[in-house]
Amino acid sequence: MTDGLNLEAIEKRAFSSHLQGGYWEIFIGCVFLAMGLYSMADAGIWTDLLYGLTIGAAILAVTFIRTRFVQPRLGTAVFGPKRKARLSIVTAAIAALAVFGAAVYYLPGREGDGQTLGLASGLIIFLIAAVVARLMDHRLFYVVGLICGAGFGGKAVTGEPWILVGAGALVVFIGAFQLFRFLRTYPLPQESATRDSI
Amino acid sequence: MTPSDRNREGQDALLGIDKIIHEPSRLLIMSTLYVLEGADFLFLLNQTGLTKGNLSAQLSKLEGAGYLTIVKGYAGKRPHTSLSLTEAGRKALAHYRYLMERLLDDLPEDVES
Repeated sequence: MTDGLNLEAIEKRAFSSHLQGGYWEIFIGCVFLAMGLYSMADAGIWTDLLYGLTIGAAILAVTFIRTRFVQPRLGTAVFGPKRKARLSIVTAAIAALAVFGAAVYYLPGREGDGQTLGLASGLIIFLIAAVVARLMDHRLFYVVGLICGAGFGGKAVTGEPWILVGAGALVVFIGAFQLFRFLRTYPLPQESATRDSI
Repeated sequence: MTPSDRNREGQDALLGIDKIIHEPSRLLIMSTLYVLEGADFLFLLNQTGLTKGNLSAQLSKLEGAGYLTIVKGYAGKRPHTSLSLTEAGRKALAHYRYLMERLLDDLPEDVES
C-alpha cells in the first residue's frame, strides 16, 4: 500500500523536474571550459579578471535560462524543510569546491607536485559531484562529476589543457541537450493555461 | 478478536474513508501538495498531468472542504495562483493514509480466484 502512496517518490519527482532544464550542467560545463581555455593564456591579473567575468556571464546566462525558459514552462514550487536542508548542504559543498579550487590554484609551490595534486583534485571534484547527485536526486551529476574530474586529472597528468576544454564542452553539450529535451517536453503554456479559472 | 470483530473493524475503516480525498485526481493533488510547502497552478498542472479544467474543478472541491488555500495574485503582469494545503488538509491526508494502510495491510497476499 505504501508503494501506492509513496510521498517520498512524489517529492523526488517534483524536485527533479526542477533540474531537467540542464542549466546546472551548462553552468558547470562553462566553468570547466573557461578554466581550460584560460589555463592556455599567460598567467596574470588580467587573465584572472577575464576568468571571473566569464563565470559572471555564465551565472547570468543560467539565471536567464531558469527564469525565461524553465520557470514559465514548469511553474514554481516551495519545497519542505527536509529538501531545504539538503540544498543547504549542496550549497556548502559547492562553496567548499570553490574555496578548494582557489586554494589549489594559488597554492605556493604547486608546480612541484602538480600531477598528484591534480589527480587528487579530480577525485575530489567527482566526490563532491556525487554527494550533490545523491542529495539532489539528480543522477546526471554523477556523469558530470566523472567527466569534470577526469578532465581536471587528465590535464594535470598530461599537461594538455585541451582535455579540460573538451570535458567542459562535453558537459555544456549535455546541458544544452537536456535543455532542448526539456523545451520539447514542456511547451510554453498558452496564456490561458496559467490564468486560473478556479 | 474474532474474525467477525476484525471484519467489522475493516468495514468501519472503509466507511470512515474521506471521499473528498479518495477520488484519484484529488488524491494526486493532495499528495503532491503534502510534500511541498506550496506550488503554483502551472507546477501542479505539470506534476499531476490533469487538464486545466479538471484541475480547477478538483481544486475548488478541495478548497470547499477546507483542505486547500488558494491565493490569487500577479507575478509581474501575469496572473499567478499559489496553492498550499491547510493544516486540516494535512491531517486529513495523514488520516486517510493511516486508514488505507490499516485496511489493505490486512488483505491476504495471495487470494485464489
